[in-house]
Amino acid sequence: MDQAVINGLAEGSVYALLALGLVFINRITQVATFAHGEVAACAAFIGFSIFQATGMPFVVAVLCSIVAGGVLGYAIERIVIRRVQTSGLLATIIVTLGLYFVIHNAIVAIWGPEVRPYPAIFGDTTVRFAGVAISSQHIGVIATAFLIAIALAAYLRWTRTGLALRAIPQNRYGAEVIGLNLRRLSATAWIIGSAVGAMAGVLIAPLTFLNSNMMGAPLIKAFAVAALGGLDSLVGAFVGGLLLGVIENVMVVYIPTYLKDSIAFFFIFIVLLVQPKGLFGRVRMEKV
Amino acid sequence: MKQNKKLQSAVAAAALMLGAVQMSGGALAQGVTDKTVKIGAYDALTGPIPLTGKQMNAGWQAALLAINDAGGINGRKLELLVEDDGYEPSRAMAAARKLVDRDQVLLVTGLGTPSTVVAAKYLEQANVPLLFPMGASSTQLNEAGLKQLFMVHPAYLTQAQIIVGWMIDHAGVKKPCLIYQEDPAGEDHLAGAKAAVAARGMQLTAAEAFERGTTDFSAQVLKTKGAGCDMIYTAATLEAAARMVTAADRIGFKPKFAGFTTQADSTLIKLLGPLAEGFYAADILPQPDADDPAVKTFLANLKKSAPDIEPTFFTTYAYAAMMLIGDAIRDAGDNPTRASVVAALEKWNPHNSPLLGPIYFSKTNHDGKRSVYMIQVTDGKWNKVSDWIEPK
Repeated sequence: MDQAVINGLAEGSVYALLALGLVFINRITQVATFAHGEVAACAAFIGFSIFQATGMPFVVAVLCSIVAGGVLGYAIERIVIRRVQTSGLLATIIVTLGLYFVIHNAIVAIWGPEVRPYPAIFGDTTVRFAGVAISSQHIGVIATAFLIAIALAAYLRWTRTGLALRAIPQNRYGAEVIGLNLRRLSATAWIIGSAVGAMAGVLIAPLTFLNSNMMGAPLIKAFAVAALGGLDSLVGAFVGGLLLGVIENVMVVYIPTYLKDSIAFFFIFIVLLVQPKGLFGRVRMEKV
Repeated sequence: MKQNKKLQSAVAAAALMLGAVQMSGGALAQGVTDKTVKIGAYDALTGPIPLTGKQMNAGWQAALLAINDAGGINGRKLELLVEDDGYEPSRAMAAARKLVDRDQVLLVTGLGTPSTVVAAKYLEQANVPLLFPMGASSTQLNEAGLKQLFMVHPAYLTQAQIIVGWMIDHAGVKKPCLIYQEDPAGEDHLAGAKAAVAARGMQLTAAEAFERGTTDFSAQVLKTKGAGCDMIYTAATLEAAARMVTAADRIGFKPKFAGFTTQADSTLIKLLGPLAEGFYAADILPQPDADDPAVKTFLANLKKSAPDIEPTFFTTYAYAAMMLIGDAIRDAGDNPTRASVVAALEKWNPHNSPLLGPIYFSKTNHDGKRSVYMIQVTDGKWNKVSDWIEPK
């Protein structure tokens, strides 16, 4: 049972990490990007190519991945999202779905469908304590997810840019009126969110092996976790991810394991029924 | 009466033309011309298993190159048309249709159990041979008594039966378990595993399922640990099997692992490194480093055709299968037709494939290979640990 809880924290931290970038972008720009997983995967692949081609220490390749993620996010915002945003929210989201396919197929075209091992930044060892075991990589993922959640929340709360970013979803027109540069802020949100996604890609790849399909299933869970946490709460995404992981893994100790995914969504369904804004979400008020 | 005359001339002209065609020596079958034979394949080049699709295509192309470089089949070059179906049954159906109706191929091959199930039904109705696809759901294919389908890859049910049985008989397994994908292929593996234990008066200690696409197997592995399993049969893709091994290692669980033919691949060792040590698998093809002239020829042809492709299980299988297709067309005679291909195959009793060994077909049996042999990773390499085994 204890091991199931630990497994749940480990698995859930992966969802949480992937959800963080998603939630950040969604919170500021109100766009739920289905391409987020592929951006993460693409960044992981870029890091891998750089590592293979230059033989530099892997940490350098990781930094390059994060930069690549940010650049990719900027490119998406500038080239695609900005043009579509005037057509409404639904159109924008569907466009991100299209981007999912474009980026996914680009990855296959560039790097091929091969499955490769990926270096684990937090090492390959198993940490044992109190009768349970967890991999060092998973500990790293939990810690990173936690730190990023706190850092992003603090950034939004206590920096000038963060304040400006928060103003946009609150009152877009008002933000423009008081002189905020919406274009630049929107780009900033996408850059940061995608860079966080890149970080997730690099940390998750060692666990799933690097391949073009690696982010398919995790992204769906990341969305579920984002919804659970409240779609715009960073801490909510972190807590929601861990919570979901634990519930999934504990429940299948008692019921058949193939129901694991179904439990996850069933649980979220119940939570949202009781608390539509999610566990940590903010209720949005519109003045009428 | 002018119109009548025009009509008469037209009819006469048509009759003359028809006569001319008849006199040219008899029409050749669909897909066959004087210089070429066209065959088709449905493949999963995009979607969930693009690597397998790529490897199958590479194997087919390498064999094609080998056949055509040696002069073709009875003076005709072989031409392969590959349609991508993304591993989706509906697209597989469309692909098969296109190959037959539009491209008019002589016969078809392909990849993927769900795709094959669907394509086989259509090709049966269209009377087009479906030769040696990679996809082995026995309950839906081999047992359906299809006249156009010929298989040389042992069905998953057969494999599971052999592997689980052998592990109990020869590897000291007392608490056999399996982790299987929740789909018809996985169900086949489960049925085979059940048959093996039942034949020995035992029961499966645990059978955990998972949805396709699962990347984290901690839950399944934890359950098998709790049940006390001493062996896990990995009824999943190679990557999934590798993830099961890493998941078990993480929680300090060290059962014997055994996989089927798709895991008999150097990629498993590449992904797992030292963790691969001791992994058992079933195989039907020689390993790429075998001291076997047929293997050396295959490797040379693969290098010529696609120098950057590794000789993996799927590549080797596809190559062997395409060479067999060449043999079938050759045995069908100077003017091969779909019917003569089927008739030729049903006389293979056995026909020897340099890579796959003896293949047995008859009018009532199209399941050409019902045995495998076991290999195991020792010292970082695959080594043979048994002879050919039939299901018991």
